[in-house]
Amino acid sequence: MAMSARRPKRKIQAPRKPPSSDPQLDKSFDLLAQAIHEIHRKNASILSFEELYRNAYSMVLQKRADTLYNGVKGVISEHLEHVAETEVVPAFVKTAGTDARASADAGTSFLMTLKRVWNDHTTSMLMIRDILMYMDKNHVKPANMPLVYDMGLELYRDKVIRSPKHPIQAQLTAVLLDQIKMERKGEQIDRSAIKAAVDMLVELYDNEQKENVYVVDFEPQYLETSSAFYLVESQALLAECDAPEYMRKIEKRMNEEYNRTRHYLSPVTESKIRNIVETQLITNHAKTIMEMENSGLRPMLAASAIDDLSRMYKLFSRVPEGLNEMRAYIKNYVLELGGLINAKVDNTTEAPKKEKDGGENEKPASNPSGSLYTALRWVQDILELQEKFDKIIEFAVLKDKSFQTAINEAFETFINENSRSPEYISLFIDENLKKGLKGKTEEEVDNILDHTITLFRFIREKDVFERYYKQHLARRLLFGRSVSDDAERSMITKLKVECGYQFTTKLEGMFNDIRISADTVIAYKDYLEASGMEKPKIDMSATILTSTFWPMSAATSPKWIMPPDITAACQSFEKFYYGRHNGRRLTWQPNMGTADIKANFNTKRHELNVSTYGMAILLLFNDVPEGNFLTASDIQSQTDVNDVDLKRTLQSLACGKYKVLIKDPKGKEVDSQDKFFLNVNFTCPLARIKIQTVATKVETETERKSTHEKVDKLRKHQIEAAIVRIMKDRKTMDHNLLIAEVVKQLSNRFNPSPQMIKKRIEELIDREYLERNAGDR
Amino acid sequence: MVQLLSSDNETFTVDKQVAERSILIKNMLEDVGESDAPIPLPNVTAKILKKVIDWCEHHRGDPVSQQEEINDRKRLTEIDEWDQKFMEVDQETLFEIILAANYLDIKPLLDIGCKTVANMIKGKSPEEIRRTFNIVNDFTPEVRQFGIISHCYFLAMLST
Amino acid sequence: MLPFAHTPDRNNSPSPTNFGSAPSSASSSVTSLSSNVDMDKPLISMDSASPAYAQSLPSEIIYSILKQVASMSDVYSCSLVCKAWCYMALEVLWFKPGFQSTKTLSRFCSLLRQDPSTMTFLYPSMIRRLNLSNLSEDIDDPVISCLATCNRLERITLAGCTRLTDNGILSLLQLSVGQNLISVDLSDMTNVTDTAILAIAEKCPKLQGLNLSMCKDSQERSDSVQIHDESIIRIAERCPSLRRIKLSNCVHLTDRSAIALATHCKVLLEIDLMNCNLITNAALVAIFRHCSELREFRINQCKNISDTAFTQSVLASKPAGVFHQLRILDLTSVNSITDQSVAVIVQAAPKIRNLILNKCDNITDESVFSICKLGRHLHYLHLGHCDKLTDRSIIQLAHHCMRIRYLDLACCVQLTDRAVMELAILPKLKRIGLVKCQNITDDAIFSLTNLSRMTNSLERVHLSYCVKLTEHSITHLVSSCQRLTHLSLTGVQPFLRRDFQHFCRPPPRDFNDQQRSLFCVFSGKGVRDLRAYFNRLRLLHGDIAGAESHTLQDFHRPMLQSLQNDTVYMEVDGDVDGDGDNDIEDMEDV
Repeated sequence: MAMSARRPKRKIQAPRKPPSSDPQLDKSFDLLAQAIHEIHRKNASILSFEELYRNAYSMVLQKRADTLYNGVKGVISEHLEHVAETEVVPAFVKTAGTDARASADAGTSFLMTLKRVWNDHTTSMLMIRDILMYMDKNHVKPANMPLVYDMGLELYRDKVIRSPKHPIQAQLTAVLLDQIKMERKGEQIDRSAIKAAVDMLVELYDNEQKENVYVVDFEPQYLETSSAFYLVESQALLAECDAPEYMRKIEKRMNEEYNRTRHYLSPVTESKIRNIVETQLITNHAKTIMEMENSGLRPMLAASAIDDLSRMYKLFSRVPEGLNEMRAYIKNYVLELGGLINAKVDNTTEAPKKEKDGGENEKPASNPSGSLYTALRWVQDILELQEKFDKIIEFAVLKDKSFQTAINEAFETFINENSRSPEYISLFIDENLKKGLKGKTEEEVDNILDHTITLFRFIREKDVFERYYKQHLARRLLFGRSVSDDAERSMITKLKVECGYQFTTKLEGMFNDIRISADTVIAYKDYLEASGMEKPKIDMSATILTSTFWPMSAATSPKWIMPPDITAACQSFEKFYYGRHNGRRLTWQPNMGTADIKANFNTKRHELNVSTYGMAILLLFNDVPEGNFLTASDIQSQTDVNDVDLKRTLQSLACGKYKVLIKDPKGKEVDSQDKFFLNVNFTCPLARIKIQTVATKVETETERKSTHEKVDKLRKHQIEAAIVRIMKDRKTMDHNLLIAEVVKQLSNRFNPSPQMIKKRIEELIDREYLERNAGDR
Repeated sequence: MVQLLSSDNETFTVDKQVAERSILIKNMLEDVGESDAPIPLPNVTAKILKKVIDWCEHHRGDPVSQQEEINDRKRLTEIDEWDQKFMEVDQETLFEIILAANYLDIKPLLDIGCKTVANMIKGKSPEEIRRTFNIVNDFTPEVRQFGIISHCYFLAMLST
Repeated sequence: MLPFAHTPDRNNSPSPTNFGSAPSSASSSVTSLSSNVDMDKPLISMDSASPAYAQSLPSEIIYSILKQVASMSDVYSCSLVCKAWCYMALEVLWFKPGFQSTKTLSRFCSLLRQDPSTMTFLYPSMIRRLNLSNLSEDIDDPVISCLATCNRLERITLAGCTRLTDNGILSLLQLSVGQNLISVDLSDMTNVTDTAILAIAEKCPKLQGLNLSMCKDSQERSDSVQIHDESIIRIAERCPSLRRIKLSNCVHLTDRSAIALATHCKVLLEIDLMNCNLITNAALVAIFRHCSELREFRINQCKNISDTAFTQSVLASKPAGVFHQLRILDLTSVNSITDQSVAVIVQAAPKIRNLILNKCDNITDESVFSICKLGRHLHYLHLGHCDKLTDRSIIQLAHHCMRIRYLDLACCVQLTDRAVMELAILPKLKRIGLVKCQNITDDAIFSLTNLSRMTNSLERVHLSYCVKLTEHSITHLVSSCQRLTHLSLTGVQPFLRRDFQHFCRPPPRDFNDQQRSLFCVFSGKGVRDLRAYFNRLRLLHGDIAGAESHTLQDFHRPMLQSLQNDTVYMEVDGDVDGDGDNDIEDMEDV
């Protein structure tokens, strides 16, 4: 080969590199091998870093990098095997678990040995890596081989930890598990030793499993033994603890495990161990805990043990399905309690409290559920129950919506099981609006009304409630029994919010009537003044009720014979009124009015406030000579008042607190031949006496039936109206869909049964409002 | 301060920060610890060592990048002015600087050196390259004619 | 093992790459080479009188030098210099071979198919990166299968190779190709199914980047994408080093894939789920929880995403800045999100550089106020079709985010000149999109050109359908912005003059006549020529409006009127003015 003849311009220098020859290379390697030995012996200070680096560098340049790499690998490998045998194995725990303490100490000492060996190794590897850095960069990395440091880790893993000759891995795992077991039993252990071991395992990597050695070798065993441990533990605890204490122990264990993981295990274990504890301690025994006698869920609820309930909630919420059982349990409990409350109503034999001038209530024996007291008690019980569980929901289950829903469902169920619930609730409101709210602040009033509204929400048959409410309201308005106008209006507003304005228009109409009547009366008085007509002898004020709003109807107004003086007054008023409003008709309602009568008794003059009937009856006595009597039938024929009312009125006059009339024979019952005398010797400290006639009371069975009939009738109309409305909109519709739609539309008033709807549809078909599609059934 | 000893026994005193631009020296100081003894560098002559130290001084404030650019040809051509001047030396020195930078593990300097050589190659035919760098053509005739040429001819069909 | 021969022990059986040690089988004279030169020794010149430093360099240095040589032909020259250089040069040459024509490709394939023992050099092993997308139509399964011997392949791009099927991929991976593969680009490969991807998952444990973006030409093409959850989940499980994954238009993927990726691939930097519209909030919650390295996230058109994905994820519940590494977020067309989400996002990721909210039309000024908190970090902002925005918030934006480079306000119809005037202070503004902002008048444009900073930086201006503009301001714009490379004025009447149209780009082929008549976009050379033309006009006429204006305007006016009435605007995926640019969804890579 012809060389280029040109001479370079530079100075000639001998080539710097020695000619390659094997002995030279071997010498390089020997030097390095020796150096590594010294490093292992912790003698690095005698070495010259630069020389070693340079030697390695030369080897690479001379394309001996593989030799170097493999040679180094061999040296380290040998060293580690040696270390495993001479340092690690001798430190094995020998005491066969005789003394727990000694065994633990031996274990700790083993761990410390391993820690030392590991630290030595990593330190050495760092130095070795630095010396061989040129090879790492220029040979190892491009060839995708493990870098020197990583190679060192792999060797450690394979020659020490997973040594095929010595059971180091097994020993290590056993020691670790043993230590943990001890700590779980409450013993003190050396946590830092364990942490060092765990850190070491975490740093070693298993290429095949693509996870670190901790996860591959240690963790599965740890989880298994933990699982077994907690299995046993749960049995033991159940045997000796009651429910609250068991739960406290669970909490304690969970905290303990969390701490353990955080302090000396790897974070990846955290969720797994938590899972195990939860499963073993909670999931498997949730039912048992709840059902524990004397300390389980039931007693906790009974005692409103908020702390315990709250703990239970928190614990159970960790496990899937955990809360479902708890929730179902609570719901059943509520249903039970509700059932008890309902049962009280059915079984009550308590004598009803009488009204002040009562006697209106019928005998309890024949009307066991007719007691006002029972009704009020029922509502009160439910409100208390609600309050109890409101507290539980707020504080124990942290307002968990699903619990709230379950409890609401329970409430709804048992409230509607009591068929009288609409009436009772209306009575409760009535009672409050008459007396109960007296003296309370606006806030308290609002509070109570709000509570009542929550009960109202549970009622399914809201139209029944409406009916009762109207009746009660009518009485309150007409007899001026309302304790506060604001409270009344507030209640109406709340009802409006719940049910829409249609529900309350009539009620508001009633209020309106009262207001307008007051104006009308003033106008009447002016009219009398202006017209200069002769004033009737009776000072009369009339309340005019628009018949559609009020629960009475003109057709059913009872008849009676008006006393002549009254007649004149009424006629005068009628004249005035018809003059103002053409086309209206007034029907006097004698059962709703009151009258103030001045009565001259022997001792004193009193003013009596009695019902209209009462007035009629008393006026009769004006014509009766002193000392004479009237029989009940006399009175009846003269006033033409119906039996029931007559009896009631007579009772109120003769058998109540203020006996204005004397009855002969004495006794509550009024027979037609009973005699009535005017009680001329009547005395009373008060000048003005009010004699209540119509007392609010719970309906009798018969009355109830009649109310419900009326309601039913109304419902029929409403169903029909709904059907027609829907069909007008859709023109054609499938039968089942129609039923579903009707139910939906009426749901905020009542729940119509499909049969009822079906019947209505048939009716409408008969009346040719609807027709079936030809061919369908 | 650190002392560096060249192959011809000249000692240079340098700031630690400057010296540590060489990863080798950096590691050495970490592993071995500081001592008063100078670090021997038998691979590097005083002349070259001085140049290297000069470069490190000038670039002492540069950020040290961790990433290796695997195939970043785009960054090729720009060498800043100072560095260009720095590299205006004879070939021997140039290659010695490159070798020293390689040994001492000063990547930026190595890159600049390589870039400089690369620029010297630009546009030359193989024979011209050989002449520039005084390289011996050590291919056997057959290889020269058939092996490499045919394949490389093929390669010439490829463009990037 | 490196492909060139250097065995540490001579006792080892010679590797086939031993120069000259191949058995003499083939007819090629290459094989009859004798091993004249012992490759085990470093090369030194025979003549010690003239040492050649370049020849005796360590091979790694030779490689470093050759890597820096810019032109391939120079590297090729180096490969002919001497043996040591030859090896290294070949490594460099074959690092990323490219092919310009089918012919060279087929030669390449026949080379690869050769018996390795007959190869002078083990070329296949030198190949590290391969991009075959420029010959995508010619790549078929047999071609790919011959790459199976490239065992050091690190990156492969097969974008658009629609003739390839699963079999091709499988045969590629059958030997040891997958071992070193870190990046695989299979975008637009319509015949790839789960089978291929499962194979990739099994064979490429070091995978860092996977591109499976599919083009959405049409609905049926989207539906025919054959990639489903099972393969993506396997990728997630087997390739924990995954950093970038692009799955746009893989419409069958559900939350399961996204959640698997989030939980297994902890170092994900980039996720692209554009148009994967089965994705719901659950996927995002998982991603935000696990992907603490995520820098780029695209969920365009994932319409099932709503506010709760953000407000009920760790973005909202953890302290501010929990997602501080996020730089790019694309929420185009995720139109159910509201200001709430934007607030949560900004709080959790205060260093976002590129934020795209095109077609999120529930966004109000409040969102922009939140965005202001990104401050100088924000460089690119797209708010196209957010028509609730008013000047108020844009003004604030201009004051707070002073480093904005691209701003897209297309169809933000409430904006007026005021907003643009405030935006003029942005020193780095390069692109501004005001398509269909019909309130914009010449005043706004003049305000942009008043500041030299702006005229020096503006490069692309989109003013299509800003019907109030006249030539006065535009000509000033063109003349003063020397860096202007793109100007779109479709539908702007004063510009529909023949003399201006002369410099326009041609409209897209599928435009109908009406659209063509309105089309008006200048780019590149067109802009420069336009500028020159304006200058000439000014010199000649003193102003520009005079010359040759009336006829064409008269022609176009009635048509323009009727079009405005009918609002027949063609929108090709946001390319409002038909300039080929996706005006609304112009995504610039950071």
